[in-house]
Formats: sequence, C-alpha cells, structure tokens
Amino acid sequence: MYQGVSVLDPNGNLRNTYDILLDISKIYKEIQAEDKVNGTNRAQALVEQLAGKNRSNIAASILNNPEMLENVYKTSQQSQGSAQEELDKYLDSVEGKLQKVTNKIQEIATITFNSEGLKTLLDIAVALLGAFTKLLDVAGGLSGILGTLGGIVLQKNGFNIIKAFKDSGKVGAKSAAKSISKDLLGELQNVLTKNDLDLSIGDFITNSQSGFGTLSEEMQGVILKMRETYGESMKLSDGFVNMGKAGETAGGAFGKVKGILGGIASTLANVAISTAAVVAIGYLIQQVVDAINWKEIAVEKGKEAQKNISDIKTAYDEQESFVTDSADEYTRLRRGVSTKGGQNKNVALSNEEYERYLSLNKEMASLFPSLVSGYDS
Amino acid sequence: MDKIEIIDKLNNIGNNFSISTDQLAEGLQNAAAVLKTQGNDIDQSIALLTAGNAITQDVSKTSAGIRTIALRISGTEEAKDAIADMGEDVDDFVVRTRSKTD
Repeated sequence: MYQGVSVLDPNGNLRNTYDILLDISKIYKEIQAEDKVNGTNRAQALVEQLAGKNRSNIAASILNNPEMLENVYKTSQQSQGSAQEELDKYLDSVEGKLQKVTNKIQEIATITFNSEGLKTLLDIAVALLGAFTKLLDVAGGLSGILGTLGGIVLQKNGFNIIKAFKDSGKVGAKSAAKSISKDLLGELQNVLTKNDLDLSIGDFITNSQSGFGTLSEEMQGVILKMRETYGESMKLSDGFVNMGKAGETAGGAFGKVKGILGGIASTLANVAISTAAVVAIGYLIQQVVDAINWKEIAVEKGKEAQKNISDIKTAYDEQESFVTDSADEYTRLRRGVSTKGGQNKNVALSNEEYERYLSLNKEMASLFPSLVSGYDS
Repeated sequence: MDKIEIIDKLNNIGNNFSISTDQLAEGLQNAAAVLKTQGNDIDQSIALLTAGNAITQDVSKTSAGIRTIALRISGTEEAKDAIADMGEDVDDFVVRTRSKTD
C-alpha cells in the first residue's frame, strides 16, 4: 500500500520538483493499478492536481517514466567530455578527414594564391583541357582511351575479369561478360563451399534457412531450372559450374542465366571503367603536360649541361695552362723560400722574385683550392 | 558551470534518449528559470524535460507543462499569479503556504 509523498523536506523547506515527481512516479503505477481494481480515478485526479487539466498529459508522461527520469538524470551527470568525444569520432571518420583536407586546401589557397597566381593556374587548366581534347580527337574518343587504360590498371591490380578488355583491345561487353561469367561462377562455388552452404539443390530449395525465398525471382527461376535439368541431389556449386559450362554453348535453357551474368558483367565493367577513369585522366594530363613541354624541357636541360661542360673545360684549361707555363718557374722560386711554421719567409730571392712567388701562390690557390694548407699575413 | 559542460549534457542526452539536443535547448530556454527557482539543477531539469517529452514529442508544450507543474507544486500566491499570467488554468490551484510577501 502506498503512502503519501511529502513535498517538504525534514526542515520544512519545499523539495525540488524533480525529487517530488520522482517519488510520486515510483508509486504512480500502483495508484493506477488500484484504480483499476476499485474503479476509481485517483491517478487522473493526481495529474490534474499537479499540472492542471490542460497540462495533465505532461505530468502523466513524467509519472509514467520513473526509470527514464533517473536514467536521464544519471546520464546527464556523467556527460563530461561527450561533445569532445563525439567531435573526435567525427574528425576520425572519413567524412571528418575529408573535411580536414578541404579546410587545409582552403587554408593553403588563402595563404598561397593571390588573384594573379590563381588566374595563371586557371589559364594552365584551360590549356591542359584544350590539349586533352585534341588528344581525344587523335585517340578516337574517351571510351577507347579509358577502356584500354582501365584494362591495364585493373589487370595490374589482379582484377582478372578485365582481361577481356585487353585481349580484345577495346571495351567488348560480350567477351568481357563471358570471361566474367566464368569467374563469377567459380567465385560463387568458393563462397558456397567456404560458408558451408553447399547443399544439394533440393535441400537448398526446401530446407535452407540461408534464403532461397530471399533470392530474386529470376535467380529462383534459375535454381528451379537447375533442379529440373540436373536433379535434386546435385550439389548447388556443381549445378552452377555445369550450368556455366552449358550456358556458354547451349544458350536456350540458360539464356536467362547468361542474361543475369551478362548484366552483372556489364555492371562490373562500368564500375571498372569509372574507377579507371580517375586514374586515366590523371595519367593523361601528366602525359599531355610532358608532351607540351618536352621541347622546352629538352632545350633547357641541354643549355644547362652545355654551361656545366663549358665551365669545367675552362677550369681545366686554366689549370693546364698554369702547370705548363708556371710550374717550372714556381718550382725554382719555391726553393728560395722557407715555409717553416706555416709562414712564407724569403730566404734567397730578390724582392721582385719573392713578389712573383707570392703571386703564383695566390693564382695556384684559386686554381687548386684543395692544395691550400693555410694562410699567412 | 562551464558552457562546454552544458553542451556535453545536451549532446549526451540528445544522443541517448528520445529528445534532440535542439529540443532540450529550447525546453531549457522556456523552463529553466522556473525550475531553477524551484530548486532543480540542470541535470534534474533535463531529466524532467526528457521524460515529459517522451509521449507528446512537443518540447514547447512539454516545457510549458513542466513550468506549470513546478509552480503549482510550490503552491504560493505568486506562483498562482504567474500561472494565470501564462494563460493556464488556476481554478483548482491549491495555495499551500502563505506568500513570503504577506
């Protein structure tokens, strides 16, 4: 039996609204239960007394949810850092990282480009697009280029289904579909076996919880046709493989299957082309840039190399000339000078000869810096 | 109380209960002054708003209702006048205590 709820604390002060409502809410269901037993309406009278007729539904909502009141109160008290945590999660997500990249690009753009620089970049972009258009004219359209490049890129990554593109030299949906169909059937068999779903055709249709009923109507039709052709006892994976082999030559009964697989193949091919397009465009732009600039680059590199060769030759000529013209003279003068203690001291030369010796010394130091061992006054 | 602490509370409750952060902010804007006067802290105010909003899902009505409930429980003449000023029903209002201004 419930007892009354005091709105005053032991000191005679009014308790807060939350505490009063929480206490009432804990006995509210009991009041409702007794109302049902006794045919009274005290619960409704209580909420109307608390909130008035117009707002009684709000009071009822609170009193019916004592658990929520307490849960929210506790959760709210323990919320420290939740906003930061959420921000961290967001920043760690793909979307957040993309936003960070965008922000960084905007920052770089703000501090790097003035309007003249930006206009120059736009001019370059326009020029590149013009060159790209010309290239398309020459190469026979975007699809030809992208198909070829898509085949190369995807095959490099081990995506064997695109092999058909390369073999045919162009985007050939028919041959691609055939190749993809074989791969898909093989893959399907692997999946069934690995996941222990490789039931007999009959069991799969009648007992499987893995979902015959969840398959599309077309695929259900295919499996039913498989049962009709190969019997109920054949393994599902074997059925698919047989069907794939027969489908290549027989057509007719398996035309529908080929249609489905062909559709999948076309979809995959489209995805592959879309993926390749991004790579291809980047590659093409780089090729176009190089094609536009190769003459200038070659001339520039040539000029640079020529200057380097010329500088080296000049240096060697000067050194050779010094050795040829002055080596004997320097050897003779050197005998008249003492270099004891790292200092030159005239021992047996005239003033003119000593001046000449010092001059040759300076000249030799500039031509053969590696021979310099020290400097005197 | 730091501003970020309030944001933490609104964000956390908005994430975990059937009320949004915006609704909580609007509800507190409407009812916080009265609730604070009646001795409720922000956690208790948030709890009342969330539980009160669970059925109606109209935070404007919820906050008005909670404001009315808090004032009716206080049972003062001032509270009765305040409720009447808000356009709420005061016919069955019980004045429980003497007004402090008496």
